[in-house]
Amino acid sequence: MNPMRSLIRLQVLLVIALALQACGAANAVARAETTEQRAYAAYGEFTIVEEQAAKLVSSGQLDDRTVMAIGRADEAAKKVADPMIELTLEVTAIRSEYEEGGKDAESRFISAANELNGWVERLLPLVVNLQSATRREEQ
Amino acid sequence: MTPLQLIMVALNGLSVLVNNPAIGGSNLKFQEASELLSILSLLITRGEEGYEDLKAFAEEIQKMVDENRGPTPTEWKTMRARSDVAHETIQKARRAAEARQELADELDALEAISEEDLTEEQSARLGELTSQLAE
Repeated sequence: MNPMRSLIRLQVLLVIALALQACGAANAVARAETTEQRAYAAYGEFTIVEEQAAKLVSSGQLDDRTVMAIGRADEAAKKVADPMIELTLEVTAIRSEYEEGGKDAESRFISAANELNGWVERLLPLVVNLQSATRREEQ
Repeated sequence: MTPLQLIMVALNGLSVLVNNPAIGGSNLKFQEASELLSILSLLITRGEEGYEDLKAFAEEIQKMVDENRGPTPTEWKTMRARSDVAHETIQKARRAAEARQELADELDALEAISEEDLTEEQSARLGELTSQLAE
Protein backbone atom coordinates (compact mmCIF):
# COMPACT_ATOMS: atom_id res chain seq x y z
CA MET A 1 0.00 0.00 0.00
CA ASN A 2 1.10 3.56 -0.76
CA PRO A 3 2.75 4.89 2.47
CA MET A 4 1.09 8.31 2.07
CA ARG A 5 -2.35 6.68 1.79
CA SER A 6 -1.66 4.56 4.90
CA LEU A 7 -0.64 7.66 6.81
CA ILE A 8 -3.78 9.53 5.80
CA ARG A 9 -5.97 6.54 6.78
CA LEU A 10 -4.25 6.35 10.14
CA GLN A 11 -4.87 10.05 10.72
CA VAL A 12 -8.55 9.76 9.75
CA LEU A 13 -8.93 6.89 12.26
CA LEU A 14 -7.20 8.99 14.90
CA VAL A 15 -9.57 11.90 14.30
CA ILE A 16 -12.58 9.57 14.57
CA ALA A 17 -11.21 8.08 17.82
CA LEU A 18 -10.71 11.55 19.28
CA ALA A 19 -14.23 12.56 18.27
CA LEU A 20 -15.69 9.45 19.96
CA GLN A 21 -13.68 10.15 23.11
CA ALA A 22 -14.96 13.73 23.12
CA CYS A 23 -18.56 12.51 22.79
CA GLY A 24 -18.27 10.37 25.91
CA ALA A 25 -16.48 12.85 28.15
CA ALA A 26 -18.45 16.00 27.37
CA ASN A 27 -22.06 14.88 27.09
CA ALA A 28 -24.21 17.57 28.74
CA VAL A 29 -27.52 15.85 27.90
CA ALA A 30 -26.44 12.70 29.76
CA ARG A 31 -25.73 14.74 32.90
CA ALA A 32 -29.13 16.46 32.95
CA GLU A 33 -31.77 15.05 35.28
CA THR A 34 -34.99 17.04 34.76
CA THR A 35 -36.82 17.64 31.47
CA GLU A 36 -35.95 21.35 31.54
CA GLN A 37 -32.24 20.65 32.20
CA ARG A 38 -32.25 18.13 29.35
CA ALA A 39 -33.84 20.62 26.94
CA TYR A 40 -31.32 23.31 27.89
CA ALA A 41 -28.44 20.81 27.57
CA ALA A 42 -29.63 19.79 24.08
CA TYR A 43 -30.04 23.42 23.00
CA GLY A 44 -26.60 24.30 24.42
CA GLU A 45 -24.91 21.41 22.60
CA PHE A 46 -26.63 22.50 19.40
CA THR A 47 -25.35 26.07 19.92
CA ILE A 48 -21.77 24.90 20.50
CA VAL A 49 -21.80 22.75 17.35
CA GLU A 50 -23.42 25.65 15.46
CA GLU A 51 -20.64 28.00 16.65
CA GLN A 52 -17.99 25.52 15.48
CA ALA A 53 -19.73 25.27 12.11
CA ALA A 54 -19.91 29.08 11.85
CA LYS A 55 -16.14 29.36 12.44
CA LEU A 56 -15.48 26.69 9.85
CA VAL A 57 -17.66 28.21 7.10
CA SER A 58 -16.04 31.61 7.79
CA SER A 59 -12.53 30.15 7.42
CA GLY A 60 -12.86 30.16 3.62
CA GLN A 61 -11.29 26.69 3.49
CA LEU A 62 -14.43 24.74 2.60
CA ASP A 63 -15.86 24.19 -0.85
CA ASP A 64 -19.29 25.62 -1.68
CA ARG A 65 -21.09 22.26 -1.57
CA THR A 66 -19.87 21.61 2.00
CA VAL A 67 -20.92 25.11 3.10
CA MET A 68 -24.37 24.55 1.58
CA ALA A 69 -24.70 21.14 3.33
CA ILE A 70 -23.78 22.74 6.68
CA GLY A 71 -26.28 25.55 6.00
CA ARG A 72 -29.10 23.08 5.32
CA ALA A 73 -28.31 20.98 8.43
CA ASP A 74 -28.19 24.13 10.57
CA GLU A 75 -31.52 25.41 9.26
CA ALA A 76 -33.24 22.08 9.98
CA ALA A 77 -31.90 21.94 13.56
CA LYS A 78 -32.64 25.59 14.33
CA LYS A 79 -36.31 25.13 13.38
CA VAL A 80 -36.63 22.43 16.05
CA ALA A 81 -34.36 24.04 18.66
CA ASP A 82 -35.96 27.49 18.97
CA PRO A 83 -39.55 26.46 19.82
CA MET A 84 -38.13 24.40 22.72
CA ILE A 85 -37.31 27.60 24.63
CA GLU A 86 -40.92 28.76 25.08
CA LEU A 87 -42.03 25.22 25.83
CA THR A 88 -39.36 24.80 28.54
CA LEU A 89 -40.43 28.04 30.24
CA GLU A 90 -44.01 26.77 30.11
CA VAL A 91 -42.98 23.43 31.67
CA THR A 92 -41.14 25.30 34.44
CA ALA A 93 -44.25 27.39 35.19
CA ILE A 94 -46.53 24.32 35.29
CA ARG A 95 -43.97 22.49 37.48
CA SER A 96 -44.20 25.35 40.04
CA GLU A 97 -48.00 25.11 40.00
CA TYR A 98 -47.76 21.33 40.41
CA GLU A 99 -45.32 21.61 43.33
CA GLU A 100 -47.69 24.10 45.00
CA GLY A 101 -50.54 21.57 44.61
CA GLY A 102 -52.42 23.40 41.84
CA LYS A 103 -55.59 21.80 40.48
CA ASP A 104 -55.03 19.58 37.38
CA ALA A 105 -51.40 20.69 37.44
CA GLU A 106 -50.07 17.12 37.54
CA SER A 107 -51.70 16.03 34.29
CA ARG A 108 -50.80 19.31 32.57
CA PHE A 109 -47.22 18.98 33.79
CA ILE A 110 -46.92 15.39 32.54
CA SER A 111 -48.35 16.35 29.17
CA ALA A 112 -46.10 19.43 28.73
CA ALA A 113 -43.01 17.52 29.91
CA ASN A 114 -43.75 14.69 27.45
CA GLU A 115 -44.12 17.20 24.64
CA LEU A 116 -40.81 18.85 25.54
CA ASN A 117 -39.08 15.46 25.69
CA GLY A 118 -40.41 14.79 22.20
CA TRP A 119 -38.81 18.02 20.92
CA VAL A 120 -35.49 17.10 22.57
CA GLU A 121 -35.62 13.67 20.87
CA ARG A 122 -36.23 15.40 17.53
CA LEU A 123 -33.39 17.88 18.04
CA LEU A 124 -30.60 15.46 19.06
CA PRO A 125 -30.30 13.62 15.69
CA LEU A 126 -30.41 16.99 13.89
CA VAL A 127 -27.45 18.17 15.99
CA VAL A 128 -25.59 14.99 15.02
CA ASN A 129 -26.42 15.75 11.35
CA LEU A 130 -25.02 19.26 11.71
CA GLN A 131 -21.90 17.84 13.36
CA SER A 132 -21.51 15.30 10.54
CA ALA A 133 -21.93 17.97 7.86
CA THR A 134 -19.24 20.00 9.64
CA ARG A 135 -16.89 17.01 9.87
CA ARG A 136 -17.66 15.38 6.52
CA GLU A 137 -14.32 16.53 5.11
CA GLU A 138 -12.58 14.04 7.40
CA GLN A 139 -13.75 11.12 5.29
CA MET B 1 1.22 21.68 24.30
CA THR B 2 -1.71 19.24 24.35
CA PRO B 3 -1.59 15.98 22.33
CA LEU B 4 -4.15 17.48 19.92
CA GLN B 5 -2.01 20.55 19.34
CA LEU B 6 0.96 18.27 18.75
CA ILE B 7 -1.00 16.32 16.13
CA MET B 8 -2.03 19.58 14.51
CA VAL B 9 1.59 20.77 14.28
CA ALA B 10 2.61 17.39 12.85
CA LEU B 11 -0.15 17.57 10.23
CA ASN B 12 0.83 21.10 9.26
CA GLY B 13 4.44 19.96 8.95
CA LEU B 14 3.44 17.04 6.74
CA SER B 15 1.34 19.36 4.64
CA VAL B 16 4.35 21.59 3.96
CA LEU B 17 6.54 18.57 3.34
CA VAL B 18 4.30 16.94 0.70
CA ASN B 19 3.77 20.30 -0.98
CA ASN B 20 7.50 20.77 -1.56
CA PRO B 21 8.38 20.31 -5.28
CA ALA B 22 11.91 19.22 -4.32
CA ILE B 23 10.47 15.96 -2.96
CA GLY B 24 7.91 15.55 -5.74
CA GLY B 25 5.18 17.60 -4.09
CA SER B 26 4.06 19.13 -7.36
CA ASN B 27 2.48 15.93 -8.68
CA LEU B 28 -1.31 15.66 -8.37
CA LYS B 29 -1.45 12.92 -5.72
CA PHE B 30 0.83 14.83 -3.39
CA GLN B 31 -1.17 17.99 -3.99
CA GLU B 32 -4.40 16.16 -3.05
CA ALA B 33 -2.75 14.70 0.04
CA SER B 34 -1.54 18.13 1.04
CA GLU B 35 -5.06 19.60 0.80
CA LEU B 36 -6.48 16.71 2.81
CA LEU B 37 -3.85 17.14 5.50
CA SER B 38 -4.57 20.88 5.73
CA ILE B 39 -8.30 20.21 6.15
CA LEU B 40 -7.61 17.52 8.75
CA SER B 41 -5.41 19.85 10.79
CA LEU B 42 -8.09 22.55 10.57
CA LEU B 43 -10.76 20.12 11.78
CA ILE B 44 -8.60 18.93 14.66
CA THR B 45 -8.05 22.54 15.78
CA ARG B 46 -11.78 23.24 15.60
CA GLY B 47 -12.53 19.87 17.20
CA GLU B 48 -10.31 20.70 20.15
CA GLU B 49 -12.04 24.06 20.62
CA GLY B 50 -15.43 22.37 20.35
CA TYR B 51 -14.42 19.68 22.83
CA GLU B 52 -13.34 22.23 25.44
CA ASP B 53 -16.61 24.16 24.95
CA LEU B 54 -18.71 21.00 25.27
CA LYS B 55 -16.77 19.91 28.36
CA ALA B 56 -17.28 23.30 30.04
CA PHE B 57 -20.97 23.23 29.14
CA ALA B 58 -21.40 19.69 30.54
CA GLU B 59 -19.88 20.99 33.80
CA GLU B 60 -22.36 23.88 33.76
CA ILE B 61 -25.23 21.38 33.47
CA GLN B 62 -23.72 19.28 36.28
CA LYS B 63 -23.68 22.41 38.48
CA MET B 64 -27.32 23.05 37.60
CA VAL B 65 -28.16 19.47 38.63
CA ASP B 66 -26.20 19.83 41.90
CA GLU B 67 -28.07 23.06 42.67
CA ASN B 68 -31.33 21.26 41.89
CA ARG B 69 -32.60 24.01 39.57
CA GLY B 70 -33.68 24.50 35.96
CA PRO B 71 -32.31 26.95 33.38
CA THR B 72 -33.24 30.59 34.08
CA PRO B 73 -34.82 32.89 31.45
CA THR B 74 -31.52 34.85 31.37
CA GLU B 75 -29.53 31.68 30.62
CA TRP B 76 -31.96 30.85 27.83
CA LYS B 77 -31.71 34.40 26.46
CA THR B 78 -27.89 34.26 26.38
CA MET B 79 -27.83 30.83 24.73
CA ARG B 80 -30.46 31.89 22.16
CA ALA B 81 -28.42 35.02 21.30
CA ARG B 82 -25.27 32.90 20.76
CA SER B 83 -27.20 30.52 18.52
CA ASP B 84 -28.72 33.39 16.51
CA VAL B 85 -25.28 34.90 15.82
CA ALA B 86 -23.84 31.55 14.66
CA HIS B 87 -26.98 30.81 12.62
CA GLU B 88 -26.77 34.13 10.79
CA THR B 89 -23.08 33.58 9.97
CA ILE B 90 -23.76 30.10 8.57
CA GLN B 91 -26.79 31.19 6.55
CA LYS B 92 -24.91 34.19 5.12
CA ALA B 93 -22.08 31.88 3.98
CA ARG B 94 -24.67 29.46 2.59
CA ARG B 95 -26.38 32.19 0.53
CA ALA B 96 -23.00 33.29 -0.88
CA ALA B 97 -22.09 29.67 -1.73
CA GLU B 98 -25.47 29.11 -3.40
CA ALA B 99 -25.05 32.27 -5.49
CA ARG B 100 -21.58 31.12 -6.62
CA GLN B 101 -22.93 27.65 -7.37
CA GLU B 102 -25.74 29.10 -9.52
CA LEU B 103 -23.19 31.07 -11.56
CA ALA B 104 -20.99 27.97 -11.92
CA ASP B 105 -23.98 25.90 -13.12
CA GLU B 106 -24.91 28.60 -15.64
CA LEU B 107 -21.30 28.69 -16.84
CA ASP B 108 -21.26 24.89 -17.23
CA ALA B 109 -24.45 25.03 -19.30
CA LEU B 110 -23.04 27.74 -21.60
CA GLU B 111 -19.71 25.94 -21.96
CA ALA B 112 -21.58 22.82 -23.07
CA ILE B 113 -22.82 24.73 -26.16
CA SER B 114 -20.39 24.61 -29.08
CA GLU B 115 -18.81 27.97 -29.97
CA GLU B 116 -20.53 28.27 -33.38
CA ASP B 117 -23.97 27.69 -31.83
CA LEU B 118 -23.56 30.40 -29.16
CA THR B 119 -25.69 33.51 -29.69
CA GLU B 120 -24.11 36.92 -29.23
CA GLU B 121 -25.94 37.32 -25.94
CA GLN B 122 -24.79 33.91 -24.68
CA SER B 123 -21.23 34.64 -25.69
CA ALA B 124 -21.27 37.94 -23.77
CA ARG B 125 -22.75 36.20 -20.73
CA LEU B 126 -20.06 33.50 -20.94
CA GLY B 127 -17.33 36.14 -20.77
CA GLU B 128 -19.11 37.91 -17.92
CA LEU B 129 -19.48 34.69 -15.91
CA THR B 130 -15.89 33.62 -16.52
CA SER B 131 -14.54 36.91 -15.16
CA GLN B 132 -17.02 36.95 -12.23
CA LEU B 133 -16.01 33.46 -11.12
CA ALA B 134 -12.32 34.21 -11.56
CA GLU B 135 -12.56 37.06 -9.01
